[in-house]
Amino acid sequence: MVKQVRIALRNCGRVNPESIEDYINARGYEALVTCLFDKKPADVINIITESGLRGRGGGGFPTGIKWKAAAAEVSDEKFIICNADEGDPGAFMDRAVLEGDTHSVLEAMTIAGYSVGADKGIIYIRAEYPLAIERIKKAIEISKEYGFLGKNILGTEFSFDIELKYGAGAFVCGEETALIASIEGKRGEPVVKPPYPAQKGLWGKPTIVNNVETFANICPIILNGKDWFRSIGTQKSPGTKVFALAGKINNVGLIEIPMGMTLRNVIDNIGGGIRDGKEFKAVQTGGPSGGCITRENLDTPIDYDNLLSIGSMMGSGGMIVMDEDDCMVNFAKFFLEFTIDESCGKCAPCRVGNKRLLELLEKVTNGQATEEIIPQIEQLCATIKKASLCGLGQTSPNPVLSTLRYFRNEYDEHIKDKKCRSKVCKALLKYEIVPDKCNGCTRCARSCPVQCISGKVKEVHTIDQKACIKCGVCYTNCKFNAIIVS
Amino acid sequence: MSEVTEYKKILPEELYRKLDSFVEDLGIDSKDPRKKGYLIQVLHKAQSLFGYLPEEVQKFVARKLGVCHSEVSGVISFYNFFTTLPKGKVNISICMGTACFVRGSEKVLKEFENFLHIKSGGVTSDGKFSLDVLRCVGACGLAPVVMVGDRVYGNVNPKMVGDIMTDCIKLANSMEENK
Amino acid sequence: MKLKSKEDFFKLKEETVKKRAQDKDIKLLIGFGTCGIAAGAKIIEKAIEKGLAERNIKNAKIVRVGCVGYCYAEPTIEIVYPEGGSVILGNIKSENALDVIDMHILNKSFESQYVIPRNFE
Repeated sequence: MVKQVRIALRNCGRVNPESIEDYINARGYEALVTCLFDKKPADVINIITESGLRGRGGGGFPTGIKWKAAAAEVSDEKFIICNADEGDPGAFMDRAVLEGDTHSVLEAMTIAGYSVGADKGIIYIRAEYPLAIERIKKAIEISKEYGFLGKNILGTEFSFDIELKYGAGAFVCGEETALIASIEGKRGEPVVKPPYPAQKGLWGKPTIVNNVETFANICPIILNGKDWFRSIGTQKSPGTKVFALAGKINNVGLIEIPMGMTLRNVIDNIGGGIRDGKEFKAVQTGGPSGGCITRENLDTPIDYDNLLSIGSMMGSGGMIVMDEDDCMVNFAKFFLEFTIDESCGKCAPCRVGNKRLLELLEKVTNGQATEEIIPQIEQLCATIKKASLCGLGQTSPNPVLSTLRYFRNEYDEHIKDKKCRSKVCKALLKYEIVPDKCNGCTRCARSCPVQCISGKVKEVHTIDQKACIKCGVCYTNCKFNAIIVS
Repeated sequence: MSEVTEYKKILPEELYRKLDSFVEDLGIDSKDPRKKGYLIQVLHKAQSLFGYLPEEVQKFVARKLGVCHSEVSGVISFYNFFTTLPKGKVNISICMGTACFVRGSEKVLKEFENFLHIKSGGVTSDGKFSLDVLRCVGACGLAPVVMVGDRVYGNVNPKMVGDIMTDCIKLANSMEENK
Repeated sequence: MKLKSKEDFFKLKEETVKKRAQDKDIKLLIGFGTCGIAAGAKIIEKAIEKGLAERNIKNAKIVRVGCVGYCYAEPTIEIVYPEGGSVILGNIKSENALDVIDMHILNKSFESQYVIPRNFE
């Protein structure tokens, strides 16, 4: 059995995050000391570049290249931003790292500051993470007391400070330019790149934005070297990835796996199989920007490029397992509703396009769609992908496209047969009474909120299909299993 | 504090004073071109004091920071966390993160809506309860999750809604008594 | 205490590591992430504290740690023995506290109905 490899989560559950001694005992701040005293900034950047570390926030951009670009800029001021505005609804690895190994993020940000010549760090964190916020505040304070943060760190010329900025619940702020706008006190609307934040970021100054998990990888790379890091994972995606494994799986939890592990291994071994012995249907990665991985791709090694090629993406690390009871059309709708809620509204393809797309999907789940709807959906998806300004819009049709690609039969059933095989889409359900089993107890008729069930005591009852609102009350109330749903 | 009394206020003066001293403590230089960077922080504080951000609070913040009211309002309407309507005494939040959704939080929400006769985002007419959805509290192992104040209910199914509401009613009544 | 040089740091590190190595207490690592607390970690901590006092155990210490990742089995306790080895327990309820203490602290057993499989090294 292939097990997890813990790099980003190395200290989570091992050290008391509020004890700097625990952290130092676990080789904490050794990487910073090595950098400050034995390495030039350019050397540090080289190690990170050659390690092949890619951004763990989703896009997978090489971290070293980002740092190099910011280091090359000449400016009186530069910023290091840690993106802790975990927006994917189903991912919580950043919170786990910040809560469980707070100092490692501070140390890595300081190393980044030293490498690119920045003296100011900002952690942009969700206000909904009160415990993480409290621990970061404490960690910053104690680091300053020890001289790991603040003026003249460890007696050197290098100074670095970290402050906290709170997000206010906007998924789009995971996009770096939107995040910067939010720190500047504006609506978190993205702007066109280039110029990249590494050239012109916060307050127009060179800025690095990295995700929490990316930072959590920095210190081990410095301590153990690039070759060690490259020995884990795959050629193009070295290292590990943390996933929040959730949904219809037995062992829900936070896992860190080497890149290149197959999904089958994750589900069967680490995840302990599907709950209640049900049938596996799909796994969704990448949250609202991602797509599904189905049975046929269970043996695909997980890395950035492979996931893209099968129509999903790495994303920040949500991994939701679905079984036979989940309707894929409804699931695509769920993510689309999320995107519409979270669209900043700046560009029309995303703001209007997704809304129209949702209406089309609603027709499918309501049973009002005809066959022409599929090409319409496909065309609209293509337009939104092409014409949207930022990553949120460009990826928003992915859940729809991916379910269309792998679960076309479910769409067809909704459209042609007006059936939802998972019995999720209400409008397509039909409640019926089985005459053989009904003994006329009247319980269903009494509980029906629209009084559409008729029949005399001790006689077989019937449901008036036209009046039925498909609330399912009769179904739950029948003690003789005489009501079936199809 | 002179500006504070210039426009009509219904909300307690005491809270305005607290907000005022919070902003003063930030030591913002009125000529600082980056002063807008404090806006979201101040709004967080204001919402934690007042519970919501009605127009009078928005105007207060705008003047205090020297930015336009329209900009303040624009920021508030953009972020989900900020609300311009007061919440109920007891707020019930249903997690609609993906993990909870897959495990049936939609049905739980429906049940609460039926019970309280309000939609998600609404407040009951007596002002006692409000209902909203939130995106992932990170307790995916306990999905579906319902939060009432600080209390977390895990593995919730529609049948448990009645019991949870009994707790909520008790909580609301005890808040009333303490008043 | 402010560290002012590389030497300061390594001196502190050496002292810390030495002090830790001398610490022969059994450690009870309780998962105190948001999810652990939501699942009742605080209540478990109290129950364990009470249990340790009841059994008059002096060589065991509770440590609050972050999320270990076993969300399905929260609240979790990892018991680390000073002579090496550890065991991870899941789905602990406060009424199990004495049971856990008897089996895993007094008898240092590596097996019980509370043990959950460790899936990483």
